[in-house]
Parts: sequence; C-alpha cells; structure tokens
Amino acid sequence: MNRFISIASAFLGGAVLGAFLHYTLYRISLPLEPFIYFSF
Amino acid sequence: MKIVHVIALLAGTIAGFFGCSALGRLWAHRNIYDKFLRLHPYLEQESSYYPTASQLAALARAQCPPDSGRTLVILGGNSVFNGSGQKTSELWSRVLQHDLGDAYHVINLSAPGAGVADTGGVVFQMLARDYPRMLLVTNTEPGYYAPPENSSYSYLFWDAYYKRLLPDDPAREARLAGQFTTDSWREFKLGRCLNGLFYFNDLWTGVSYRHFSTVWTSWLKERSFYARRRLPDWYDKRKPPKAEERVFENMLPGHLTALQQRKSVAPERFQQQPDGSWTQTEESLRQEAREVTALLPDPLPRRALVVFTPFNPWFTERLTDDERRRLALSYENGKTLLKSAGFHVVSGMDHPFEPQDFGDTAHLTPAGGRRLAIIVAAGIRGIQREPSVPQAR
Repeated sequence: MNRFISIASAFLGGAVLGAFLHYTLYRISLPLEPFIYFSF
Repeated sequence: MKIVHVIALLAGTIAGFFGCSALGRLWAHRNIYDKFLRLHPYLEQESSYYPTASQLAALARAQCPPDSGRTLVILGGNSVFNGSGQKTSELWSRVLQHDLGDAYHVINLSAPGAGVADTGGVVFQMLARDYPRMLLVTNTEPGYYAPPENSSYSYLFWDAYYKRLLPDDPAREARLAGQFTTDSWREFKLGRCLNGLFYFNDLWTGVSYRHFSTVWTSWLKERSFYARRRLPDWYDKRKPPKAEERVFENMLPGHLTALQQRKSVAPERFQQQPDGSWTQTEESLRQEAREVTALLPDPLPRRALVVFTPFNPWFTERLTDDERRRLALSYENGKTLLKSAGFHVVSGMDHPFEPQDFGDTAHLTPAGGRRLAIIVAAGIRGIQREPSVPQAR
C-alpha cells in the first residue's frame, strides 16, 4: 500500500510539474508589463 | 528514490503537460465570454490580457452560428470603432445593430491601437469559409495600413497562422518569406508556433477570464488577480468626455501638434507644385498600394468596408491652409487606393461631423457614435445591394 501511495504521489507531483511547465510557456511567450509598452 | 518513482514522476509530468494542452485545445473552440460587447481595456493587451484568435472566432460562432440565417458583421479597427469614451449603454456598435435589424449580427472586435486588418480582420479571415455572406467593417486614417502580421496586434495573426486557421494565400506566403528574421521576431514567432501545438495561451487566458488571473498589471493593481469576467467594462466607470470648446482648448497645443504629425497632415509624404497645390509623392503612393494589397487575401476585400473616420473639425480648423489641403488629399488618395484594391470605402470627411460629435481630436461622443452608425449602416446596405455579394436573408 505504501509503495502504491509513493508511486502515485510521484505521478501526481509530476503532473503538477507538467502543468507548471505548460503555464510557464504561457507566461514567457507574450510580452507583459513593463515590456508591453515597448511594443507600441 | 527508486527507478519506478522516477518513471512515475516523468509519466506524471508528460501527462500533466499534455493534459493541459488537451484542455487548452478543447477550450479554444468553445466560447468563454459572457455578454461580450467589445474588447475594452480589461479584455485586451493593454492590461496584459491576450485573447487568442481561436477564442475570438469561437465567440463569433457562438453569437452568430453559421446556420442562423443572419449576416455576420465583424467590426475591426482602432479605438474610434472600439467606442473609446462611450459607455456600454451608448456604444455606437449597439446603435449600428439596432439600425441594421435582426437580419444582421454585429460583433465589435476592434481594439485600441489596432490596425485596419488586425483583430476583427484576422477573425474575418478565419471565418471566411463558413460565413459566405459575412462582412468586415473596419476603420483607419489615410496612410496607416500596417499588415496584420506586423502591427501592434500581430500576436493574433501569428496565432491564427500557426494554428492553420487562415485561408491559403500564396501572395502572403511570398510576402512573409525572408521577413521577420531578427532574433526578437524568431522568439516571438516560436511562442506562437508552440501555442499552435500546445494551446497554453488558450488554456491560461481562459482561466484568467473564467476563474482567476495570475498576471499583475498596473491597470488593475490589487484587482489584477480577479477573473476578468468579474470586471466591468472599463468605460462604464469613467467620466464621459465633454464635447465643449473649453475642453478642446485645454487640449491645445498637445492634441493639435499630434494631429499635425499624423501621416495624413505632415509634409513628408507630399510635394508642393509650382502653383502651390500639393500632390502625394509617387514613392509614398507605391508604398501604400503595396501595404493595402497585403491587408486581406483575395477575394475578401470585396466583402470589407473601410471607414476613414474623421477628425474633429474644431481641430482641423486650426490647421494651416496647406495642412488642410494635405489632409483632404490624403483622404481622397486613401479612397482611391483602397477601392483599386477591391475594398469598399466610406470617408467620414465626406459627412457632416461637428465638434460636439467628438471627445477629442478623433474619438466620438455618443452623438458622434450615432452619426457613425447611420453612415456605416448605409454603407453596409450599399454593399449588400451589389450583385456580387450574397444577400442577407
């Protein structure tokens, strides 16, 4: 049981990491303040 | 940590990343917006919010399905068409919808600072195949014809481009070849290309609108993290502009100087003839002709109406005679250029706008908006009467 929980925890931790990587792409791919003002 | 844990961690990472991508892809094709009226500053890039091309197209599809029997009218253009200064209850595009009636559906996708074929123009291209009777109505001023791939809203063009949502256009491909090769452009295009694969902008912009925002912006300060759908239309909380001579006088000299520096007035594009008259230089005419043909692929210009929105006559009266002549010539040449490229054109300078129609040099008060709506409605009906454009039912 403990072994199952630890593997599942590793999988869930990885899933959170994958979602964070996805979110990071969003944050770095578009100009945000203050950089946005240079685009006008 | 055992190897099995490492494998579980890697499998989870892949599942998390591609699960988010799948969610983003799913969400990109569903309308996320409630009671949408326009891209006010809390719904566009000025406040670090970037609706994607897919989301705007899904919005148009939800508001006016292809089988609804109504003619979709997409509004593009800049802050004048965005109704800058007008509250939602008096927004000019609502007046236009009322004037046109139920046979039409008007959706206002114009945005502050957008070019003639940005925002609404990109969505117009994306929907062209499914909406054969659709019209694009957009605005600009003479001399400003930035192509959608190289404008302040170019992220939308490249988003649609890399998602393969734009109609095939060999002329566009030839034009893009060899351009946009600097490091900053490559990085920017890589971001759009990756979004076309993984839909991260679609997912997290959707989350920002529906649930919570994760981006701090000086426009919103402590409200930066609110779901954007909870925020009111920005103009509803602002004092309406006053169309009074005293207010215009307070705008001097800054607004008049800015007007004098516009392409349609400044002397750079013109040459004076021996008799004192002005003509536009051959070089600038050629350049503008090239820019105009790059706005929309054929045959879409024939379903597009470009409105040259006017300047406040209170300010134009304060220009010199030469400046006014150059301004009038710019509007005439702009009409000729766009018509020769297949566009329908209406010039606001040909209509009797008055100082009380304006809140500043170019933006319209509700009274000016009503006047604009009448002119645009007449222009749309004029296009619909032409035999080459499918009729509204």
